[in-house]
Amino acid sequence: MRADNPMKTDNPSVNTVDAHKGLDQYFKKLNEKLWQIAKRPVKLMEVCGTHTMAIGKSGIRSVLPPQIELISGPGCPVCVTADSDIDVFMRLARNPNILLATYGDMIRVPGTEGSLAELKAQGADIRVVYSALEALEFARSVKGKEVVFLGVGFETTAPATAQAITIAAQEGLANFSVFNLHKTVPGALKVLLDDEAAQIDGFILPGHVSIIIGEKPYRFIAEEYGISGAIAGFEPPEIMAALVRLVKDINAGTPSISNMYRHAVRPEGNVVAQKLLADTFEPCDAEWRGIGVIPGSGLAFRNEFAAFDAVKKFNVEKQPVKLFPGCRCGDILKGTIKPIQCPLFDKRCTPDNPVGPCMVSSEGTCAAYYLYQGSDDLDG
Amino acid sequence: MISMDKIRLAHGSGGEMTARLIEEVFFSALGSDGKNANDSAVIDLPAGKTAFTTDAFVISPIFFPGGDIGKLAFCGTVNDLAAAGACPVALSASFIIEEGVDIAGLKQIAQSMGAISKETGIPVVCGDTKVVDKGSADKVFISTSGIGVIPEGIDYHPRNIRDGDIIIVSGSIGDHGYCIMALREGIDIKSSVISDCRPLNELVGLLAPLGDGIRAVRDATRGGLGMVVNEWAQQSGRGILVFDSLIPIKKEVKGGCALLGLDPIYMANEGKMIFAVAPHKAPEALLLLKDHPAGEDAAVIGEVVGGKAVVRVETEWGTKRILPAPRGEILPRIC
Repeated sequence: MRADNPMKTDNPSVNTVDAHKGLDQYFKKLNEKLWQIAKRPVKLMEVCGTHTMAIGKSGIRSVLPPQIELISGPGCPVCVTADSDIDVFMRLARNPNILLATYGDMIRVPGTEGSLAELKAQGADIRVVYSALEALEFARSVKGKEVVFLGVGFETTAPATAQAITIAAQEGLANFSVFNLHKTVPGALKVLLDDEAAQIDGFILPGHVSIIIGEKPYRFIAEEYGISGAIAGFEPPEIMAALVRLVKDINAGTPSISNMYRHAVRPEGNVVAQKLLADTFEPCDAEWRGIGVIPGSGLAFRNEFAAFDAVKKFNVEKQPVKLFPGCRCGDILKGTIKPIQCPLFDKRCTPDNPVGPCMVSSEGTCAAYYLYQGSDDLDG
Repeated sequence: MISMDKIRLAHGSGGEMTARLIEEVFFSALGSDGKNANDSAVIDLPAGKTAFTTDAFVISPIFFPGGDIGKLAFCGTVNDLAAAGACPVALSASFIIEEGVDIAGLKQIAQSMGAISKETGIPVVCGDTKVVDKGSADKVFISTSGIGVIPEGIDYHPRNIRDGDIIIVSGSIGDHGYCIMALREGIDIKSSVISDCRPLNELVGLLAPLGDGIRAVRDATRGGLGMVVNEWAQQSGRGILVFDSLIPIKKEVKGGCALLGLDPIYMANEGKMIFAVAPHKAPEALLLLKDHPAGEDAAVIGEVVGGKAVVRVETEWGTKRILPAPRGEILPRIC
C-alpha cells in the first residue's frame, strides 16, 4: 500500500496547462485535502456506471489515500439486465416482422442463446439508436414492419421513452412498441444497504439520475441507515469534491445527502420529466441481474399505454434461465467482491468474449477493471 | 456517351459496356489514354528495397466533407507506403460497384482519385471493375494496392524504438472519424471539422535526412492513436507514456465525441502520422514537420519510458492510468 500522496510533487507536470482553466489545480487541492482528512479505512461506492468509467479513465484511484477504497455498484443499465430479459429480446429480434431498435451497448450482451450482434449477422433487422425518438422515426418511416424499442436505463433514459410513447399514442402509430426494462435507482440502494456483506460507508450518487429525481429520494439513506451520499458530476474535480465531502461527513459522524452537482441538479429535480414519468409509468417489481427482484424498482406502462407494451403485443413470456457457471456478476454489482475476484475474470470472460453484461457494457464494472486495472500499479 | 445514368449489371459483363465505362469514367479521370492497357502494368523500379501494400475501402457515406472514397483509397495506400519510409511509385485500384449506382457519382470518385494522383505525381497504373447485384455491396467498394521504393538507410519498423524516444503526432487527431460519425448520426457539422484525408508521403519524406533518428512511423487509421502506441509498446517490448493534455484535438471533435460517447484517441485519422524519434533528433523533426502544411499542428505527445510493455497516460488531472488498446467495434466502416 502506498504511503505518500503521489500528487505531492515539486516536479511540474507537463500537462498542467491552462486547458482546464485551473480545474486541475482545484483537483489537486481537493486531493491534498483528502489526504489530510482520510483517517480510517472507508469503502465508498459509486452507483453510476458513468462514474465507474470516469473514475477508471481519469486515473483517480492512482492518487487516492490508501484508506479510501472505491467500489462500483449496480448503476449500469446494461449490467443489471436479467438474462431472462435478454432471451426475450432475442426472441423478438428473431421475428422477421420486427425491426428491433436498441442502444448500442445491448448489441453484444450475451444471453443464454447468444447476442443480438450474432442475430444481426444472421440477417435480423436490428438497428442501433441514440434515443427512443430515433426508434419512433423508424416506426414512422418503415412500412409493414413492427418497430420494437428496447427501453433500458434508469430515470435518465426513461423520460425519453415516455415521450416517445406519448407521441406514438398521439399519432396513433400502430407499429411501435417498447420492451420496457426501465428501472429506478433508489430501490437498488436500499437492497445494498440491507446487504450486510457490502458494508458501504458512503455513496457517490449518480449525477444524471439526480437531474431528474432531485435530492429527496435519497434522504432515507442518511435518515434511516445513517450513511452519507453525495450527488456528483462526472468531471474528476467533481468526483474528488464528493469524496472529500463524504469523508468529512464520516469523520464528523453526521450523515447527510449533499448535492455537489448543483449547477445541474436542482433539489426538486426536473419536475416536467417527473410528471412525464408519472403520467406514463407506474412502479412495478423488476428483476435485476444477479440481485433478483427488487419490489417497486421497475417502471411499467400505465393501462392507457398498454398497446405499446411489446410484452403484451407479442405475447412474450420470460423463462427462468441458469446463469453461466461461476459468473459472479451479482456479487460484483453489490460491491461484495471486486471483478478480479470473479473466477471468470480475464479468463473465460473478457471484453472480446464476455460472459456477463458487466464485461460488455461501456459502463460496466468489469470492463472498467479490465481496461484500467493496471492503473493502480503504474510504477510497479 | 454512356446512355444510362445508373450502373447496370451489364457494365460488369466484360463486354462493350464495361469497356465504355472504363474508358469514360476511369481512363479519363486517371489520366490514361488506355493505349498501353494490358493484363499487367510494367513498372521500372529504382534501386532499393520495395514496399508493397494493399487495402480495401468500404466507407459509408462515400462522400464526406474533405473527400470521398476515391481520395480516401488513394491517400490510404500512399500513406501506408509512406509509413514504411517508401517513396510511392505506382498504385492499382479495383472497384466493386453495386448495381444502380449513379454513374455521375462514380465519375466524381474517379476524378477525385485522378486529381490527387496528378497532385502527388503517383500514377494509378492498373485496375479492375466488377458490378454486383443490388444489395450485394454498399454503392462502391475500392481495393487499392501500392508499390514504393525505400531509400537506403531507412527502416521505420517499431523494433527500432528505444527508451527515451519521443512520440510525435503530425496534427490534430480524430477529425476523420468524427466527421464520418457525425454525418452518420445526423449531427450538423457546419464547424471546421472536415476529414483530414490527405497524402503524407511528402511530409514523411522530409524526415528522411534524419536517418535512423526516426525510429518508427505509422499512420493512425482505424483504432487511431490509441492503437498505434499500443502496437508499438507490444512490438518494441517497451513502456510508452503519453501526456493527455499535449495531444492536439480540435475542440469540436472533443465535444462531439463526448456527445457520442466516443474517445478521439481511438478515432480514425486519414491524414495523420505518428513518429517515434530519437531524443536528440526530436526538435529538428518537429521543426521539419511544422514547416509543412500537413504537419503545422505537429506536437510532442509522449515518450518511450521502458519498463512493462504497456501504454500509460498522464491525464490532464495529473493522475496516471493505463491507455488500453481499443476493443471491439468502435466505429463501423469509417475508412
